[in-house]
Amino acid sequence: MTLAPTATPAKPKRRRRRRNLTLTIGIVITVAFIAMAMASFFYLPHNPNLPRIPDRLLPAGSPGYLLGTDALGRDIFSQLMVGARTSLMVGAGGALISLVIGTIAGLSAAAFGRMADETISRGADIMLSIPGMVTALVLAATIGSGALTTILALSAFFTPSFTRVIRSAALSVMQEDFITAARLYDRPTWFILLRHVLPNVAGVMIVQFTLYFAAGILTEAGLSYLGVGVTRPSISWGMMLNEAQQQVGISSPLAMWPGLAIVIVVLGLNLLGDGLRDVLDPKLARRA
Amino acid sequence: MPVYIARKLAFFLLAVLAASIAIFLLIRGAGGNVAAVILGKDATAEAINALAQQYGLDRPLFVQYFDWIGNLLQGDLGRSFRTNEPVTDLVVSRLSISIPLCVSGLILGLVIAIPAGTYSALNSDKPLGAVIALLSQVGIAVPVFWAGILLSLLFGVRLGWLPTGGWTNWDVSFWGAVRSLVLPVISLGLILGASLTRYVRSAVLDVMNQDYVRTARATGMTRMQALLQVGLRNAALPIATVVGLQIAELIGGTVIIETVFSLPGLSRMILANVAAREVIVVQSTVMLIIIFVMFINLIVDLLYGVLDPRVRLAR
Amino acid sequence: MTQTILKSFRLGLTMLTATAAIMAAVPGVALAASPRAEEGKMILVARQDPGTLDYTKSNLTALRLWIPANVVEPLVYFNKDGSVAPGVAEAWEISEDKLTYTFTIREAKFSNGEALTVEDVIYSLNAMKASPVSQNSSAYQAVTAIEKVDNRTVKVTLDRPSQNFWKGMGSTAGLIQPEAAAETIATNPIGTGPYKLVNYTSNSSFEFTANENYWGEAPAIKDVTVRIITDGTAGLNALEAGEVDSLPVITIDLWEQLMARGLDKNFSMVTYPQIGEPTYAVINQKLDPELRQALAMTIDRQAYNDAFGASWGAENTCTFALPNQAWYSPESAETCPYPYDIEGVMALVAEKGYAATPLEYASLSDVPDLSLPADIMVPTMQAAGFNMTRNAIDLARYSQLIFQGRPPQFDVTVMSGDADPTQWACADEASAGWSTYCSAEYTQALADADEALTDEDYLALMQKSADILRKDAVIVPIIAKKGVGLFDPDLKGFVEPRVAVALEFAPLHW
Repeated sequence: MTLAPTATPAKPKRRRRRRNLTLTIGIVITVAFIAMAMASFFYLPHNPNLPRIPDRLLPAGSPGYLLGTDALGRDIFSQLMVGARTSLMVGAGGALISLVIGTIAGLSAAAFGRMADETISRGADIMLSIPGMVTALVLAATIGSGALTTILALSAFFTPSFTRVIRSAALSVMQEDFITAARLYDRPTWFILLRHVLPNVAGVMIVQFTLYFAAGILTEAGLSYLGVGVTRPSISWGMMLNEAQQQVGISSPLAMWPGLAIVIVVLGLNLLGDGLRDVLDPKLARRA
Repeated sequence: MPVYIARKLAFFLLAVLAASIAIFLLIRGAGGNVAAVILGKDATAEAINALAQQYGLDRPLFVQYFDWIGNLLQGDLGRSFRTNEPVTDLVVSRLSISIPLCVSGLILGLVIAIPAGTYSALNSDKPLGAVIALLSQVGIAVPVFWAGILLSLLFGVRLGWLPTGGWTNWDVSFWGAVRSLVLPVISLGLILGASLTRYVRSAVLDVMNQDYVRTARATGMTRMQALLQVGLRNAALPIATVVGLQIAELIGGTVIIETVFSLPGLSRMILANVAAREVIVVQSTVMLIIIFVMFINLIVDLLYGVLDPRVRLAR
Repeated sequence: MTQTILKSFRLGLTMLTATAAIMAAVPGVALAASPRAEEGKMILVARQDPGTLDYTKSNLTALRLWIPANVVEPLVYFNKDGSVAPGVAEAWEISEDKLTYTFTIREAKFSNGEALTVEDVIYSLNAMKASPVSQNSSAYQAVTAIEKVDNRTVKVTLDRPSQNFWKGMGSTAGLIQPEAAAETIATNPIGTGPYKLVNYTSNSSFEFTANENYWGEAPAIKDVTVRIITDGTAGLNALEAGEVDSLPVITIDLWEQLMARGLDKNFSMVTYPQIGEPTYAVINQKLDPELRQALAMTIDRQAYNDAFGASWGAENTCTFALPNQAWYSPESAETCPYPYDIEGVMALVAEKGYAATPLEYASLSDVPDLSLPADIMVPTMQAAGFNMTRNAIDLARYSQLIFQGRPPQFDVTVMSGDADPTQWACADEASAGWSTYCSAEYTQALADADEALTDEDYLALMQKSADILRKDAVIVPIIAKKGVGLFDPDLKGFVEPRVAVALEFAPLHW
């Protein structure tokens, strides 16, 4: 612990370098993840859903199966590739819907007066207080479990948080002088929101999106464990992890691959989110 | 001031009403009914309809809604269709597990997060600070059930120190109950610890940049002294709010941990009752959680209003 | 700095991998004698939570495993050797024409201390007669009167001989409860059995203790706990850790794992057919018979068996039965009208243009051993050229879907359950759903079987009913799974279930 009241010149530099490193690792993992998901559209070593019973439970490195096979003889590597696609779709889909609704609601709460603000904020409170699993289960029961259900459930969990964050960011932008100036010019509220507020909360939006993208992948894994996540023919990493637990126990290598995939990608997305936060909004970097 | 309180109260009541309609429609929208679940897969359609009629589930939805909300206003949460047990009894017995689980999990989380987060914020350029920051990132990235099951395997099966799961009730054996909560609390605490570390770290970084801390440090205090004497006091209220809301959220949200460790807590009760379409049990229990969360929100709002006149007058 | 970060990044991942490696490396605790043996206790594990204990309304296996025989007794018991033992009735008389059954009721008390009366018996039988569970009420189809003869005697009159009635009196349909306690049956069922229920906490446990008012010999183990652990692997963990003494019912999805962990060597394993279940495909009877047959031919029974990696406990079969039933036979050329033939089906699909027919496969998402068959069947059917979509739904929705109207809203599903051909009986053509098969030939064969006067006739006629079911490709059996249980090696005395699937605690001892 130094006594120096002011930061030494070396420090910001170091911190910046570390921020850059965080961002770099985040970008590398995220790009690899997206590339894997995209590659799955063009090339798969095997049909990931077609059982080949004689080849079941082969260890990693077996001829033709890079990471081995699962209890039905399905290729694990192919499933991981398709799983990346589903995780991308589910995580990004859930975060995107929340982003759109949350932005509209958050901006409206900030701009359209006390009634709108109270209504939207209380609405977000209600949504936050309904246990998320209830929503997921009800959705799974209503429209059947699957990728779409999971996306909708994630949107229901995440929208209130997006709304709150974007509302408070927008509120602080609304107090800036250039907004007052725009108001003096009699610009309509929607114009001010689109032209002035939105670009200024975009950083918050992008960061929030990245972090909830990661949270979506994790939540999907939890839903899979409860039996209301993605179902085949779609494949998700959470589903693979749960299948491994149900079929051979979670300490087997079968669980290791999807488990590691989840940890690495979620870590990567979180690092990306934190890195972006530092770059896009240095002031926000020090807040939660 | 009275106007401010009255306005907040009015919004609270309106929100509770809206929530009751939302949760009612949500669970009714699920389709399927408890009669079909009770009678099983080989039941005939007539038998299911007859039983549903006996339970009053064939009545128009708005009649059922007013019936339920009317009873709720009189303090009657209703009864389970399947067992005829009052919902109040169910909730109370489940809370005797959920509250200790969530509160101790949260305490453990804070015990991990406050020193870890503070240290890594103050020492972000030292290796240990970076390691803590990274460990918390990795901790956040691990799926809850994976971590929980691995812990149960290690301490329950391999080492045999603690039960792998299951619940011994308080009145059967106090220490048995404590033992069955240890692993779930550790799992919950680690998960919360990881995410709270990140929160504490940014909160501390934020506080350290505030003018009052800078001023304090200008008087010759170390960073730690400044943080403890000036920073913490100012950060306490927001942290307390987060903690309060977190408890409410946790009570309904620990379903995965409860499932991994076979604990009959409140959120697993809700899960099982949604699956069984025990609509009254689900509606009433979720309503209780919602009212509790909104009540905390209301109190926090009012407190802020009292403590900080700017809030009350703003806009 | 950069290196520190990379190092700690690697450290994090290594630790994670290491945790799992420790699992494999740390030796398990040596299996010591169960501490419960000294205390006269035992702890068993159940996989599913029944939610209600009202056996007059619910026929969930999760309830029928524990309550009948242990807590609530039927009038009589059918032993494994075919003999009949007294239950609530200490004696009985069957008239020559099999139309009158006279039961002498035992002088006994219920576990709550109240005396067992003839009125209780009449109440119980009437409650079962009116039960919404068809397996209960169908036993009473031939019953015209249930009367009190004197304070210890009840007479039941039938309008035709009925095998279902007599079999029912030794099963759930013959369970006797006190009328005065009917209100609390859902949480605290009362009976005359060797145990009474002390407490039931849903999703957690049942607690039983010996019934001091039991008419027979007191059971060896006084206190029994049944712990509900829904995650199957977690149940095996609890057994391996010595926290519980037995998993008496283990579903097929865990068999491979229990072998791989060597649990069959450290514990005594029992296999018994009563709690076994056939897994069968249900094909919508509204579909064209030829299309049904083509679908049936995509089913590769050996692949199913191998997929669970547990061929020791499951047998390929085309008969809707379990190995302990006379009309059972394993898969063979004679008994399989539609053997697996993927090339043949592909040719058929092309020839008949079945690819144009959209088909839906309904799979139960919350039952692991029923979603695995879908994992195999759907891709195979698609590979054969069928236009098959999978619809995964939970049990409550599944039940509703099935009754939404006719024809059922699905084309193929896989179920497992009681191997009793009578459950497909079609009482009313107008209310037929997926669980009834309305063919005149089949209905007649079942009615004939019910009226059979001798056991041989009954078996022959049941065989005939089961054959019809199979030939029509409506219910297509796949494999017959045995009941499998693991017990602490010191816990002895297991007997096969007598009252339907109920596991009796009383014969077990340390």
